[in-house]
Amino acid sequence: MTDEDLILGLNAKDNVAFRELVEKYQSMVYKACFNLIRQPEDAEDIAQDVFIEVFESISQFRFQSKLSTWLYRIAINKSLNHIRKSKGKTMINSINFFANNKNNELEIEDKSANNSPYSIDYNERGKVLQEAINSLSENQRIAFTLNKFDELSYQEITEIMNLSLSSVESLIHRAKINLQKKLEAYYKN
Amino acid sequence: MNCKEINKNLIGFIENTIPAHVKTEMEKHFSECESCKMLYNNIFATYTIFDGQPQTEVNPYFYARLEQKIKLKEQIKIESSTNKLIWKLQPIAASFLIVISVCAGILIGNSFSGTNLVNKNPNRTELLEAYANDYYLTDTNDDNITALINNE
Repeated sequence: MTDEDLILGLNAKDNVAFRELVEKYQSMVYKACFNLIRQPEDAEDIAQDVFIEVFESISQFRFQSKLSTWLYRIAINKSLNHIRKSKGKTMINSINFFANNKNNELEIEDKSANNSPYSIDYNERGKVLQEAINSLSENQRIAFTLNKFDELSYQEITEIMNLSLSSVESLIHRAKINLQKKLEAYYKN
Repeated sequence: MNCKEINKNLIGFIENTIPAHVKTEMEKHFSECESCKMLYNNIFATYTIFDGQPQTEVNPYFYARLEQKIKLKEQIKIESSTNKLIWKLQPIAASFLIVISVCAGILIGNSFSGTNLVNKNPNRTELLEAYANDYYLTDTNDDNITALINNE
Protein backbone atom coordinates (compact mmCIF):
# COMPACT_ATOMS: atom_id res chain seq x y z
CA MET A 1 0.00 0.00 0.00
CA THR A 2 1.22 3.50 -0.77
CA ASP A 3 1.18 6.17 1.89
CA GLU A 4 -1.93 7.70 0.29
CA ASP A 5 -3.72 4.34 0.45
CA LEU A 6 -2.67 3.92 4.07
CA ILE A 7 -4.03 7.34 4.96
CA LEU A 8 -7.31 6.67 3.17
CA GLY A 9 -7.55 3.37 5.03
CA LEU A 10 -6.85 5.02 8.36
CA ASN A 11 -9.48 7.65 7.72
CA ALA A 12 -11.92 4.80 7.14
CA LYS A 13 -10.70 3.24 10.44
CA ASP A 14 -9.43 0.21 8.52
CA ASN A 15 -7.41 -1.99 10.91
CA VAL A 16 -5.52 -3.65 8.06
CA ALA A 17 -4.26 -0.26 6.86
CA PHE A 18 -3.26 0.65 10.42
CA ARG A 19 -1.34 -2.58 10.86
CA GLU A 20 0.47 -2.05 7.61
CA LEU A 21 1.34 1.51 8.59
CA VAL A 22 2.76 0.33 11.90
CA GLU A 23 4.80 -2.44 10.31
CA LYS A 24 6.14 -0.05 7.67
CA TYR A 25 7.21 2.70 10.07
CA GLN A 26 7.71 1.10 13.48
CA SER A 27 11.50 0.80 13.13
CA MET A 28 11.87 4.36 11.95
CA VAL A 29 9.70 5.77 14.73
CA TYR A 30 11.28 3.62 17.43
CA LYS A 31 14.78 4.54 16.30
CA ALA A 32 13.94 8.26 16.31
CA CYS A 33 12.57 8.02 19.85
CA PHE A 34 15.43 5.86 21.08
CA ASN A 35 18.12 8.12 19.62
CA LEU A 36 16.71 11.05 21.56
CA ILE A 37 16.03 9.42 24.90
CA ARG A 38 18.33 6.35 24.88
CA GLN A 39 16.00 4.23 27.01
CA PRO A 40 14.60 1.17 25.19
CA GLU A 41 11.43 0.61 27.22
CA ASP A 42 10.48 4.29 27.26
CA ALA A 43 11.28 4.57 23.56
CA GLU A 44 8.89 1.70 22.84
CA ASP A 45 6.12 3.32 24.91
CA ILE A 46 6.60 6.63 23.16
CA ALA A 47 6.69 4.97 19.73
CA GLN A 48 3.36 3.31 20.52
CA ASP A 49 1.93 6.66 21.62
CA VAL A 50 3.03 8.09 18.26
CA PHE A 51 0.96 5.52 16.39
CA ILE A 52 -2.01 6.02 18.70
CA GLU A 53 -1.89 9.74 17.97
CA VAL A 54 -1.68 9.03 14.24
CA PHE A 55 -4.69 6.70 14.52
CA GLU A 56 -6.71 9.32 16.41
CA SER A 57 -5.76 12.39 14.42
CA ILE A 58 -5.21 11.10 10.88
CA SER A 59 -8.01 13.38 9.67
CA GLN A 60 -5.75 16.34 10.46
CA PHE A 61 -3.06 15.18 8.01
CA ARG A 62 -3.21 17.47 5.00
CA PHE A 63 -0.62 15.94 2.66
CA GLN A 64 1.47 19.10 3.01
CA SER A 65 4.45 16.92 3.88
CA LYS A 66 5.38 13.27 3.60
CA LEU A 67 3.81 10.82 6.03
CA SER A 68 7.29 9.94 7.34
CA THR A 69 7.99 13.62 8.04
CA TRP A 70 4.76 13.88 10.03
CA LEU A 71 5.65 10.73 11.99
CA TYR A 72 9.10 12.12 12.78
CA ARG A 73 7.57 15.36 14.06
CA ILE A 74 5.18 13.54 16.37
CA ALA A 75 7.98 11.24 17.56
CA ILE A 76 10.29 14.16 18.31
CA ASN A 77 7.59 16.12 20.16
CA LYS A 78 6.63 13.17 22.30
CA SER A 79 10.27 12.31 23.01
CA LEU A 80 11.03 15.89 24.03
CA ASN A 81 7.97 15.94 26.30
CA HIS A 82 9.25 12.78 27.91
CA ILE A 83 12.71 14.30 28.39
CA ARG A 84 11.24 17.46 29.94
CA LYS A 85 9.17 15.40 32.35
CA SER A 86 12.03 13.19 33.40
CA LYS A 87 14.79 15.80 33.52
CA GLY A 88 17.40 14.92 36.06
CA LYS A 89 17.19 11.20 35.52
CA THR A 90 20.49 9.73 34.45
CA MET A 91 20.88 7.76 31.26
CA ILE A 92 22.71 4.94 32.98
CA ASN A 93 19.92 2.48 32.23
CA SER A 94 20.39 2.91 28.51
CA ILE A 95 24.13 2.45 28.76
CA ASN A 96 23.64 -0.71 30.78
CA PHE A 97 21.26 -1.89 28.10
CA PHE A 98 24.09 -1.89 25.61
CA ALA A 99 26.45 -3.50 28.11
CA ASN A 100 23.99 -6.31 28.72
CA ASN A 101 23.04 -6.86 25.10
CA LYS A 102 23.40 -10.56 24.34
CA ASN A 103 24.23 -10.04 20.70
CA ASN A 104 26.47 -12.89 19.54
CA GLU A 105 28.77 -10.65 17.54
CA LEU A 106 29.63 -8.65 20.61
CA GLU A 107 30.31 -11.73 22.74
CA ILE A 108 33.07 -12.78 20.40
CA GLU A 109 34.91 -9.51 21.00
CA ASP A 110 37.64 -9.21 23.60
CA LYS A 111 35.85 -8.05 26.70
CA SER A 112 38.85 -6.12 27.88
CA ALA A 113 38.80 -3.88 24.80
CA ASN A 114 38.03 -0.28 25.64
CA ASN A 115 35.12 -0.06 23.30
CA SER A 116 33.54 -3.36 24.28
CA PRO A 117 30.02 -2.89 25.59
CA TYR A 118 31.08 -4.92 28.61
CA SER A 119 33.86 -2.57 29.71
CA ILE A 120 33.51 0.14 32.30
CA ASP A 121 35.23 2.45 29.88
CA TYR A 122 32.44 1.90 27.34
CA ASN A 123 29.79 2.73 29.90
CA GLU A 124 31.63 5.82 30.99
CA ARG A 125 32.18 7.11 27.46
CA GLY A 126 28.58 6.49 26.52
CA LYS A 127 27.41 8.36 29.59
CA VAL A 128 29.78 11.25 28.85
CA LEU A 129 28.57 11.56 25.26
CA GLN A 130 24.90 11.30 26.19
CA GLU A 131 25.23 13.92 28.90
CA ALA A 132 27.03 16.22 26.49
CA ILE A 133 24.20 15.77 23.97
CA ASN A 134 21.62 16.35 26.72
CA SER A 135 23.26 19.67 27.54
CA LEU A 136 22.61 21.04 24.05
CA SER A 137 19.64 23.29 23.37
CA GLU A 138 16.57 21.42 22.17
CA ASN A 139 16.89 22.43 18.55
CA GLN A 140 20.60 21.66 18.44
CA ARG A 141 19.94 18.30 20.07
CA ILE A 142 17.18 17.40 17.59
CA ALA A 143 19.13 18.49 14.52
CA PHE A 144 22.34 16.79 15.66
CA THR A 145 20.60 13.54 16.65
CA LEU A 146 18.62 13.32 13.42
CA ASN A 147 21.78 13.89 11.40
CA LYS A 148 24.22 11.71 13.33
CA PHE A 149 22.10 8.82 14.62
CA ASP A 150 19.06 8.78 12.32
CA GLU A 151 21.39 9.54 9.39
CA LEU A 152 19.00 12.03 7.82
CA SER A 153 20.21 14.57 5.31
CA TYR A 154 20.09 18.28 6.07
CA GLN A 155 17.23 18.63 3.58
CA GLU A 156 15.16 15.96 5.35
CA ILE A 157 15.84 17.66 8.67
CA THR A 158 14.62 21.01 7.31
CA GLU A 159 11.28 19.37 6.44
CA ILE A 160 10.91 17.78 9.85
CA MET A 161 11.93 20.82 11.86
CA ASN A 162 10.28 23.29 9.50
CA LEU A 163 13.45 25.36 9.30
CA SER A 164 15.57 26.68 6.48
CA LEU A 165 18.61 24.79 5.28
CA SER A 166 20.96 27.43 6.63
CA SER A 167 19.29 27.23 10.04
CA VAL A 168 19.76 23.47 10.17
CA GLU A 169 23.38 23.76 9.08
CA SER A 170 23.97 26.36 11.74
CA LEU A 171 22.28 24.26 14.43
CA ILE A 172 24.37 21.18 13.64
CA HIS A 173 27.57 23.20 13.40
CA ARG A 174 26.97 24.84 16.78
CA ALA A 175 25.96 21.50 18.30
CA LYS A 176 29.29 19.99 17.28
CA ILE A 177 31.24 22.95 18.61
CA ASN A 178 29.41 22.73 21.93
CA LEU A 179 29.89 18.97 22.12
CA GLN A 180 33.58 19.36 21.44
CA LYS A 181 33.89 21.93 24.22
CA LYS A 182 32.10 19.63 26.66
CA LEU A 183 34.23 16.62 25.77
CA GLU A 184 37.41 18.64 25.83
CA ALA A 185 36.55 20.03 29.28
CA TYR A 186 35.79 16.53 30.54
CA TYR A 187 39.02 14.95 29.33
CA LYS A 188 41.28 17.83 30.21
CA ASN A 189 40.00 17.75 33.77
CA MET B 1 49.12 25.33 14.31
CA ASN B 2 49.14 25.51 18.09
CA CYS B 3 47.29 23.22 20.48
CA LYS B 4 44.35 25.58 20.86
CA GLU B 5 43.75 25.75 17.12
CA ILE B 6 44.17 22.00 16.82
CA ASN B 7 41.59 21.33 19.55
CA LYS B 8 39.01 23.49 17.80
CA ASN B 9 38.95 21.13 14.86
CA LEU B 10 38.89 17.73 16.55
CA ILE B 11 35.35 16.75 15.54
CA GLY B 12 35.95 18.06 12.04
CA PHE B 13 39.06 15.84 11.92
CA ILE B 14 37.05 12.84 13.15
CA GLU B 15 34.33 13.42 10.54
CA ASN B 16 36.80 14.36 7.84
CA THR B 17 35.02 17.63 7.14
CA ILE B 18 38.06 19.87 7.37
CA PRO B 19 40.20 21.01 4.43
CA ALA B 20 43.00 18.67 3.44
CA HIS B 21 45.81 21.06 4.42
CA VAL B 22 44.33 21.50 7.90
CA LYS B 23 44.06 17.74 8.27
CA THR B 24 47.73 17.34 7.29
CA GLU B 25 48.80 19.93 9.83
CA MET B 26 46.80 18.28 12.53
CA GLU B 27 48.28 14.87 11.80
CA LYS B 28 51.74 16.39 12.02
CA HIS B 29 50.85 18.05 15.32
CA PHE B 30 49.55 14.80 16.80
CA SER B 31 52.83 13.11 15.95
CA GLU B 32 54.66 15.79 17.95
CA CYS B 33 52.28 16.63 20.80
CA GLU B 34 51.42 13.75 23.13
CA SER B 35 48.73 15.58 25.11
CA CYS B 36 46.83 16.66 21.99
CA LYS B 37 47.09 13.16 20.63
CA MET B 38 45.69 11.71 23.86
CA LEU B 39 42.88 14.25 23.91
CA TYR B 40 42.05 13.41 20.31
CA ASN B 41 42.00 9.67 21.06
CA ASN B 42 39.64 10.16 23.98
CA ILE B 43 37.31 12.43 22.07
CA PHE B 44 37.36 10.11 19.07
CA ALA B 45 36.52 7.07 21.23
CA THR B 46 33.68 8.94 22.93
CA TYR B 47 32.22 10.73 19.92
CA THR B 48 32.02 7.48 17.94
CA ILE B 49 30.88 5.30 20.88
CA PHE B 50 27.44 4.64 19.43
CA ASP B 51 28.63 4.25 15.84
CA GLY B 52 28.55 0.75 14.45
CA GLN B 53 26.71 -0.66 17.46
CA PRO B 54 23.94 -3.10 16.57
CA GLN B 55 20.73 -1.20 16.13
CA THR B 56 18.21 -1.89 18.82
CA GLU B 57 15.50 -4.00 17.29
CA VAL B 58 11.85 -3.17 17.72
CA ASN B 59 10.09 -5.61 20.04
CA PRO B 60 8.49 -8.35 17.89
CA TYR B 61 5.31 -7.93 19.94
CA PHE B 62 5.19 -4.19 19.27
CA TYR B 63 1.97 -4.31 17.25
CA ALA B 64 0.25 -6.70 19.66
CA ARG B 65 1.08 -4.42 22.59
CA LEU B 66 -0.04 -1.39 20.61
CA GLU B 67 -3.37 -3.05 19.86
CA GLN B 68 -3.85 -3.83 23.56
CA LYS B 69 -3.01 -0.26 24.50
CA ILE B 70 -5.59 1.11 22.05
CA LYS B 71 -8.28 -1.27 23.33
CA LEU B 72 -7.50 -0.33 26.92
CA LYS B 73 -7.67 3.35 26.05
CA GLU B 74 -11.08 2.92 24.42
CA GLN B 75 -12.32 0.97 27.42
CA ILE B 76 -11.17 3.69 29.77
CA LYS B 77 -12.88 6.28 27.57
CA ILE B 78 -16.22 4.41 27.75
CA GLU B 79 -15.92 3.91 31.53
CA SER B 80 -15.00 7.53 32.00
CA SER B 81 -18.06 8.80 30.08
CA THR B 82 -20.30 6.37 32.02
CA ASN B 83 -18.81 7.62 35.29
CA LYS B 84 -19.35 11.22 34.21
CA LEU B 85 -23.01 10.47 33.47
CA ILE B 86 -23.47 8.77 36.83
CA TRP B 87 -21.73 11.68 38.53
CA LYS B 88 -24.13 14.16 36.90
CA LEU B 89 -27.23 12.07 37.75
CA GLN B 90 -26.25 11.53 41.39
CA PRO B 91 -27.59 14.85 42.79
CA ILE B 92 -30.86 14.39 40.90
CA ALA B 93 -31.23 10.82 42.20
CA ALA B 94 -30.38 11.92 45.74
CA SER B 95 -32.96 14.74 45.64
CA PHE B 96 -35.58 12.36 44.30
CA LEU B 97 -34.91 9.87 47.08
CA ILE B 98 -35.13 12.58 49.73
CA VAL B 99 -38.50 13.78 48.41
CA ILE B 100 -39.85 10.22 48.26
CA SER B 101 -38.61 9.54 51.80
CA VAL B 102 -40.24 12.68 53.18
CA CYS B 103 -43.55 11.92 51.46
CA ALA B 104 -43.46 8.34 52.69
CA GLY B 105 -42.69 9.51 56.17
CA ILE B 106 -45.64 11.91 56.14
CA LEU B 107 -47.98 9.23 54.86
CA ILE B 108 -46.80 6.69 57.41
CA GLY B 109 -46.97 9.21 60.16
CA ASN B 110 -50.52 10.18 59.25
CA SER B 111 -51.73 6.60 59.03
CA PHE B 112 -50.42 5.73 62.54
CA SER B 113 -51.57 8.92 64.29
CA GLY B 114 -53.54 8.32 67.67
CA THR B 115 -56.27 10.91 66.98
CA ASN B 116 -57.18 9.22 63.80
CA LEU B 117 -57.35 5.83 65.40
CA VAL B 118 -59.58 6.89 68.24
CA ASN B 119 -61.81 9.04 66.06
CA LYS B 120 -62.31 6.19 63.72
CA ASN B 121 -63.28 3.85 66.56
CA PRO B 122 -67.05 3.83 67.04
CA ASN B 123 -66.85 2.18 70.45
CA ARG B 124 -65.00 4.91 72.12
CA THR B 125 -66.78 4.77 75.42
CA GLU B 126 -66.48 1.00 75.63
CA LEU B 127 -62.74 1.30 75.05
CA LEU B 128 -62.35 3.78 77.85
CA GLU B 129 -64.44 1.62 80.16
CA ALA B 130 -62.23 -1.31 79.38
CA TYR B 131 -59.21 0.87 80.02
CA ALA B 132 -60.58 2.01 83.34
CA ASN B 133 -61.44 -1.55 84.39
CA ASP B 134 -57.93 -2.65 83.52
CA TYR B 135 -56.60 -0.13 86.02
CA TYR B 136 -59.09 -1.23 88.72
CA LEU B 137 -61.16 1.88 88.69
CA THR B 138 -64.05 0.73 90.89
CA ASP B 139 -65.96 3.86 90.50
CA THR B 140 -68.04 3.17 87.45
CA ASN B 141 -69.78 6.41 87.80
CA ASP B 142 -70.60 7.93 84.47
CA ASP B 143 -69.15 11.24 85.60
CA ASN B 144 -65.72 9.71 85.94
CA ILE B 145 -65.93 8.13 82.55
CA THR B 146 -67.02 11.45 81.07
CA ALA B 147 -64.08 13.15 82.79
CA LEU B 148 -61.72 10.58 81.36
CA ILE B 149 -63.11 11.19 77.89
CA ASN B 150 -62.82 14.93 78.28
CA ASN B 151 -59.27 14.78 79.63
CA GLU B 152 -58.04 12.71 76.78
